[in-house]
Amino acid sequence: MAEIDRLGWAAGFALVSHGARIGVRATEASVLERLAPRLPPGSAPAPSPVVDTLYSLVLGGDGGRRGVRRYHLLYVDAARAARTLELEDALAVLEADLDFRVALHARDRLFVHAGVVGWQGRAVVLPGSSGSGKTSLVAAMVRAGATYYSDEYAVFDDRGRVHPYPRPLSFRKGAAAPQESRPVESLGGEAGSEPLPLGLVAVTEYRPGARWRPRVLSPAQALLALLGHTVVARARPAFALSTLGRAVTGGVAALEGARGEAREAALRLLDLPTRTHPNPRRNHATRSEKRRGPRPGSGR
Amino acid sequence: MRPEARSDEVLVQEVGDEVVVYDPESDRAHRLNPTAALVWRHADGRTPVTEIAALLHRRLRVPADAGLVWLALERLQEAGLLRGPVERPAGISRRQALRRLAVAGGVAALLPVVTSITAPTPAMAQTPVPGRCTCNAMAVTPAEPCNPGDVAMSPQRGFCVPGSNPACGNRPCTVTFTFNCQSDGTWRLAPVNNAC
Repeated sequence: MAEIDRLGWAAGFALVSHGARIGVRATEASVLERLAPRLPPGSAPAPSPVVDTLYSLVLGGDGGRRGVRRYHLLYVDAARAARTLELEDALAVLEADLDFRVALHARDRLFVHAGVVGWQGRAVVLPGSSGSGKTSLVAAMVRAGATYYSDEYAVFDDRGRVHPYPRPLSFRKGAAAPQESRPVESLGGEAGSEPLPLGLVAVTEYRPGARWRPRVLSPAQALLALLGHTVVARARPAFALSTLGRAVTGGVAALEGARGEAREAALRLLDLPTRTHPNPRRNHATRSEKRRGPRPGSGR
Repeated sequence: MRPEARSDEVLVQEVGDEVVVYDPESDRAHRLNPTAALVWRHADGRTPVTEIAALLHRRLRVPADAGLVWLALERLQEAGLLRGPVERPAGISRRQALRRLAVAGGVAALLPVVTSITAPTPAMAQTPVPGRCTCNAMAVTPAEPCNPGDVAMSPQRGFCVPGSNPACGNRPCTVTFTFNCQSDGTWRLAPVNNAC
């Protein structure tokens, strides 16, 4: 770290997001302007220069010598995270890692890897691993009238409510292809701004041709599903258990099952009541006879 | 036997009539259904199995069957939630217990169930940045002088940089650097693909 500190740093800033303190410095001030749209939701200037994580961006490019190109280097604390000739690649790594560090160091918030929408005053949380289809399902629910909260993290407070973390949605084109970022407005949707009580936990994964026939989960099973995608599950298990325990009480519904196309699954999920007392002996969720469509005048 | 739960060494979250237990020793979390949870709560090292069976009968309306308690204890032991070994006494078979439960009706809902997961590491619980692993092999300019038009290929070994992508994993990698000799007799590094 001392070696990195000795490099010439032109500019930097410190921010705080959900209690996590982040510092960023670069060898050229101009690159920091490119970071502004990539900062985590809810970021604010930090009141103190003491940070949990420090990013150091050493810009490469043409070295003034003919035929010489220098790599752009990104360090996360003392570890090198990127070494690339493309600045955009280094910035993409930084942006993705920023969200991760906020999730890791948030003080009074619990970050669960999940998609989230707001519906009828409640949060619908879709925990899942990468590649399970969270973003597609969230996008379909937004197009159907739900409010966008996040396609990456469900952010729980100590009352069990879910806060928005509205990053641009990241659509995956393929295993090795760059992700495509799209703001929620491009889908005709809007981002939420207020925390919501948890209404539904839907554990689902895209499987081609699958029919949506979920089984009902108990609140404890829902808690376990959420814990299995909690960033600090190992580092702060007591905090995770108590936070999720509060979230899943009070008649929260929970379902699990494979799904087919996102649009169909979204309509079925939004058709379900978001507060219920599931009968654990029941194997399949009931469906109401009348299917709701998009909100009037929404144009979706 | 008086079974004893490892209740002092684990974190416990009550969720209605179920329990979620987190074991920091193994980083595993377990969900106990109502039957398993009730056995767990009363495995205090002082309460005999027969008394726990009576409790199950009173609270959950299941047959007062020690075989059911033994089933629960075996599942709890498999999850590492009990102190000491659990040895089912002779004469109490799992098959007999299940048969008696079947007679009572509603077997599936009565059976003790312990569902377990391994808690994720922070890296496991996040989206990796696809295609962002880079090989940290360093380019080494050829030492020999060059003639304009010469091309030199120089494979160098390194490691995939971990960064924020857990898929990189710091595994070995090789980047082949290409140098082209310029008209002024100097080597110039061609654009390189250092993706892992």
